[in-house]
Amino acid sequence: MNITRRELLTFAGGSILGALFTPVPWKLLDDSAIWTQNWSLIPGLPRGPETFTFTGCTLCPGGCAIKARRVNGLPVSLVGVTGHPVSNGFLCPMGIAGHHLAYHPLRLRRPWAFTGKGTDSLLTPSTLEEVISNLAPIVKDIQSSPTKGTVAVLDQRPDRVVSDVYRRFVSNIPGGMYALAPGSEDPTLTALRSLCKTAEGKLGYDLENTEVILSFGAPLLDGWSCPGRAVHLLQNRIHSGLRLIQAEGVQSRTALQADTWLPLIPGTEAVLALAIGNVLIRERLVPSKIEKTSADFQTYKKLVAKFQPETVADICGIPASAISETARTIASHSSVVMSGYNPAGGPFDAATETAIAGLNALLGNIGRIGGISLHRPLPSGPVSTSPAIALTEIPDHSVRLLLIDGAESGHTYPSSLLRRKLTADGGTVVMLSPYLSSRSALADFLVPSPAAFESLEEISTPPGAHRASFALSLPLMKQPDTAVDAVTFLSKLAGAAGLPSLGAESMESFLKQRAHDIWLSKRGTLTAPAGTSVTPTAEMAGEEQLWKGLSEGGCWVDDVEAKEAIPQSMLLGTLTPDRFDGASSPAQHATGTMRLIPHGWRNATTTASVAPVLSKLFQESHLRSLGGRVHINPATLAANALSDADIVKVTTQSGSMTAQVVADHTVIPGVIHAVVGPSPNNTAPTNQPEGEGLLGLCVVRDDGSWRITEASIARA
Amino acid sequence: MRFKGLILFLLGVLASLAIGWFAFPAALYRTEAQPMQFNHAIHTGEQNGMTCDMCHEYMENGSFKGIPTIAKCAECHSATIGSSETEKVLVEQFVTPQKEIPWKVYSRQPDNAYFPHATHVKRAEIKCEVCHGPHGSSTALPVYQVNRISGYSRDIWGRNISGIPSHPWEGMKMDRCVRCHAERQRDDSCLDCHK
Repeated sequence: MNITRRELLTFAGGSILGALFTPVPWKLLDDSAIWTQNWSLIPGLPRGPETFTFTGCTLCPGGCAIKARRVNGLPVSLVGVTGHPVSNGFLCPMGIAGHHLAYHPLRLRRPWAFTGKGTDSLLTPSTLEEVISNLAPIVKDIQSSPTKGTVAVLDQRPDRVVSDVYRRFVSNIPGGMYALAPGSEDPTLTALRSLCKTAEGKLGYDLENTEVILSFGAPLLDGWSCPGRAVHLLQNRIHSGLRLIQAEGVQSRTALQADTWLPLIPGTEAVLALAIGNVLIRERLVPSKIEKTSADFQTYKKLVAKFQPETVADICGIPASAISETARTIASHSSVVMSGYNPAGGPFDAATETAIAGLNALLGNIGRIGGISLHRPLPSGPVSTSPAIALTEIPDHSVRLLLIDGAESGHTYPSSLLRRKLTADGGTVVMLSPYLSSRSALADFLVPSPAAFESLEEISTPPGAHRASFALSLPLMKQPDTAVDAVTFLSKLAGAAGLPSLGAESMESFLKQRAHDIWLSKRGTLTAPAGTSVTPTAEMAGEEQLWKGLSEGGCWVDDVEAKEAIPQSMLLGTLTPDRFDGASSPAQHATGTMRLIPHGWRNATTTASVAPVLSKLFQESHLRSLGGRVHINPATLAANALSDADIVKVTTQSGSMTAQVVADHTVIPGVIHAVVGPSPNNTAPTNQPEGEGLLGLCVVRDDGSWRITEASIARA
Repeated sequence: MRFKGLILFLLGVLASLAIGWFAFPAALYRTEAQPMQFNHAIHTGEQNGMTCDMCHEYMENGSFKGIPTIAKCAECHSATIGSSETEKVLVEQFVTPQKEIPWKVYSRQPDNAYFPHATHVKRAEIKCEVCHGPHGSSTALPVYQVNRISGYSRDIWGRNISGIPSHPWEGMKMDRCVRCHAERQRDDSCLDCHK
């Protein structure tokens, strides 16, 4: 039988029609869609028994409690723990994605050495033994010739047991220094500490009993201290009556949620603080005892007399009536005044921080319930006598060997702050870190430390807390064989350099010692995971019970002492009134210049790694801005003939770089709000750290601040 | 021939229908043997009277354990009970060496689908039989067939290749979830099931 082409096509047509009445096309459509989910290169979830582990986040000092869902032992999701006494069930987006960071493309999986410095540097693989053999002769040489420079350890998260190990290490070396990185302490509390040196105990904010918070730009709802604490308090303010007054040069998320936003001109925070002090004294709103207990009250009174609200209103951009009203509000309620810490912009200059902290002293807030609490530190045995100093207190060009701890404060700072401390030949810098970061470019040796949730760590009292607390971060994953914790690294280095032993062989033994000290103190209570029970330490059968409770994810918190003990304090401290002379007149800026203010989100600045999954936050939702962008008021853009999305060149006396403009009504005119953020989708080669970005343009002053820098912009 | 074209057209239709409804399912699914047989009826029947949750337990936190581990089997089968070949395989190959039975799971879903048994059984009080049919009283395991393209069990789509279930409990596709939720007036959001 002959089949013509027409007949074949007729048969095919019938077949096609028939096929439409079979499951073939629809089933294949469904199956092929599922098939694309199952390609072998797509990572799948592990299969196996599902378990839950209570642990704690170590990405920043906030110490949020975590409930980890694990499948076959591997963590697959992290959530906050409801009823936790410190974090109140909250967990920031960084913490939620924290278990992804162990797989970050910039993860260090072996020690590396930089050969050469700056842009010509080249990363070459190394080993721990090679690193130690390079460092030991330097330590030995420093011991024999201390005048050539010394050893410094930079701790970004003080008050841990490993911090004491660092202090013991440097105490064995002539001139050795243990330094605190910028951002590791609350700047207002640091300033207050210098104003009331006689006060005994740790300073913290008793926000749970506070009625009014006056915040000078503190990111209270954006990761401040333990994120869950402030968010919990402000979320419940409808019941508690807590009020938040936010004085800030940009309508930040905290400003948006505040009861009152004072849109002051950046750089005039000290003016506003002194004007508030003026009203407090003029209207006799200051407790009478302050006049007697403050040695420099008359000096302060004379200084603030120059800052009448009516005369400074134009300088700081806040109406005189609003300044007076703010002063009356904080005086008539239990209040705290704070500056917080800009995760990228750092603290204000020393004079501004003192002016802000001085308001607390003026109002008698220190040692008062609902004010600045004086609480007992975490119980501990004898600690090293080596003092902790601020990085800025290290003499310039005095450090020959710098060890940088890998624990993040969540805040960043210009690398020039570190560079200026190194000896003229550039010194030797060792970084212990799980990741390659912008700071890595400064290092000579990179030693991989365990990532978050890979090793047993401690979670000590968050900065600004009103009572001591302690918990453990239990490992959820096995750390790589090449990862080295700080205790092991220091022990090896001390051994190779002929230094005395550091006293314990492992992190666990140090942590058990801390738990032992807590048990001996008989203070505080242990809250079981998920807040199911609370056991007073004094009622425990032995220290094993405390350690067991901590090992199961429990949290120890100290008792709150319900007593007021207002110490003597100063209002200006060592600062002389002439430090504020320039503040009482309108700021002079060169024509055409603007104020560059770096801004970042805690833990998402360039020194920290961000899980790629957070691109949802950064790019798809625009809830967070990416690094390399500058937010400028549309009026300022129009005056400079620029528009949204333009590529501009930002220039300061430190250099220039290109950035993309974002027209932003929430930024005050004349300000460049520069984002120091990550690039979650960065696909750069993994052996190239990202640069500091706009932070590198900031000018660092003598007091270590870099908050505001004069800058100009032009179309690139 | 006058109707040759029409006949060829109809032949094409019939050929497609035959291939689509009979040859295609046979080619699409591959039959795989379970590592051993299992008789639910002997456990849940009058002789032993066990309930589903005696083996398919919930953990302390309320989540569902799924298929019991070999440790659970060993609670009763540490030594052979009776003389069946299946019992011998269970004890000798799995219980004694403490090796988990590599069951082929009929209900395995993609990683992005999340189904909490506790919510459905404990809060909504849905009986096991509503979704699993008479599985608990079956004397042998159903034939396990795997879809060569998707890699999932045939029971996800349903035994009927048309996708139209012969019984209310057949099929575990998303449309079944949506339909049941709609019938019970449950509000749905994507993240309820897709974590």
